[in-house]
Amino acid sequence: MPDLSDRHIFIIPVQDKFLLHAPLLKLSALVNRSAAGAIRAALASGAAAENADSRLQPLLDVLRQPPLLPPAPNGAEISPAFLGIVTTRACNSACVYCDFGAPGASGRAMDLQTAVAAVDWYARLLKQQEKELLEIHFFGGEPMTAPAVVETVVHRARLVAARERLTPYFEISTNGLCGPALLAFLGDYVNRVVLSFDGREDIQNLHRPLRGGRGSYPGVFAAAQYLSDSPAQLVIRCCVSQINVDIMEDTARWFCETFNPSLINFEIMQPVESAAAAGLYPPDPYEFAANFIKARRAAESFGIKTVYAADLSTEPVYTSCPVGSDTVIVSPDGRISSCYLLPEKWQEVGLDLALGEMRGRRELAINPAAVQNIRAMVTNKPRCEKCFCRWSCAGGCHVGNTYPGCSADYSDYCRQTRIISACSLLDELNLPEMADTLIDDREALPALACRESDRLMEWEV
Amino acid sequence: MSKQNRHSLLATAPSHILWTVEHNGIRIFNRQSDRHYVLEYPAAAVWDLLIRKRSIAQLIPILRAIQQVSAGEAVALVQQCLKDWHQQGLIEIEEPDGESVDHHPVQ
Ligand code: SF4
Ligand code: SF4
Repeated sequence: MPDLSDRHIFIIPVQDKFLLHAPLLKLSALVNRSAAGAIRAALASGAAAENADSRLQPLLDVLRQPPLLPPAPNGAEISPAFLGIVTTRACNSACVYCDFGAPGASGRAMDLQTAVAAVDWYARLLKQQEKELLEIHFFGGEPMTAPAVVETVVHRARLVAARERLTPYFEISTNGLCGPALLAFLGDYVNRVVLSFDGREDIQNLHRPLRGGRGSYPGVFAAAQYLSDSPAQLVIRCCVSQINVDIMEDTARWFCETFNPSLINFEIMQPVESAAAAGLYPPDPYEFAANFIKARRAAESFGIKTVYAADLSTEPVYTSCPVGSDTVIVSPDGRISSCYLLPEKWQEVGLDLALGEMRGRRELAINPAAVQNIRAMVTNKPRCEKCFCRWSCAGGCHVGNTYPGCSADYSDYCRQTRIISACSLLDELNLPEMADTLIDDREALPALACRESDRLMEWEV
Repeated sequence: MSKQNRHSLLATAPSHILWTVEHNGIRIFNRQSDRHYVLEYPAAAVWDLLIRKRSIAQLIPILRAIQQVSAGEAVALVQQCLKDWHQQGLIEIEEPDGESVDHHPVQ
């Protein structure tokens, strides 16, 4: 259990004002320097409210409440946020920045019996835990290159859900290049289709060529059009490099005008060798954050939301990724872990995210000690302790960003996350125009993004 | 007809048959007869896979896994479904070359 005392109250400079942010008390406010100083002094001395400006009294009353920690998965038994099925590591595309082990990956698809065993295990667990939502996410490689696995899981889950009175929910991350019949299947059965689509033709073909160098744009465009009119929720996942960072706003507008997405998700490109060889690099974090906010405004004008995975969350969390929320991800070879990356990726940074394995082809064997270790790992993030995003971003990707022994200094990912989160706080306070000014202020941004500690009580007034 | 050919049969729904995916299965509407049919699992899976042009050879392993039955039982289920739906006028059965045929038993 982290020692919180008053360390959960943060102060963030926003040009000449300050954001007071206490996520565990669900309080945020914009204050000026003297108010921030008075609040700090009153909290430090435990002074009677009368000593401070009486207008600050309501804030002080809340800030003196004990913080409410978010509910964490607990108990000896695993309680998955969802079941992930990696149908295959193979892919029919050749995205230059792929980090999922697809290039050169074996084409082996998950055995159908393994897939059924995973669904049955999950349904049994939900019944035991008196839960209702049978939530299954498909990953790859490209999951639709193993369509029989997807069809089997969907139909088995629906059959079991009907029998056990559970509610099935399916999500898939796909490149959409699976042809009209399988797209129709996704449209009819999958609740949320996350389509990898990086923008207009030149960008899409540069970032995500097909094998042999042909462009993937026509296929993905057709998929986005089809899914726009289908019952499935279309989420466009757009990957941003230094090449498309300054056209994010235009890209968001184009997505909204051309398709019917329910969400647009912008993520930065991972710095992998193959991308560097193609001249592609992650974007500058300041540029990314500023353009993300501009893209958000553009999409908002169409009533469409943009998301960034580590952005401010509505509730405080211990982790913003599947790892740490007991998620169970089954790989094609029957290995069970909490992250969908290949084990080599997490082992490289000294992490063990394995949860267990299939016993034979019919039983999932989860190691309870592994569950506890992963739960503990996500709460131990030295870099994040003093960061105001610690209860929303909460470390971001545990493999790529805040692995054990990583630098205590903020990464580019941290800097962009801190800017985006501060802008989201301003939006929540109904001050979007302040966020819009902030992102163009090249002095204020580093002051916010690089600040070593956001803790109010460590602030030197 | 060879066994291979029988396993490649395709079923299609005539244009007067509409169908939708529902929470617990599939609802079919015959516009000609004005009749509704609700298919629950496992028949719903058979319908979905057949109508989406999965050949019977592709369908059997999936059905075996979904239902946890032997190949023989999966084949029997498909046969029964094909017979019922063909009689009800819900499907037409085609050879892979597109020729429409009367109901064939599946081996
Ligand atoms: S320090 Fe970085 S990783 Fe940790 S919470 Fe803050 S932004 Fe996220
Ligand atoms: S640790 Fe990183 S790669 Fe693994 S699930 Fe979480 S965000 Fe994804």
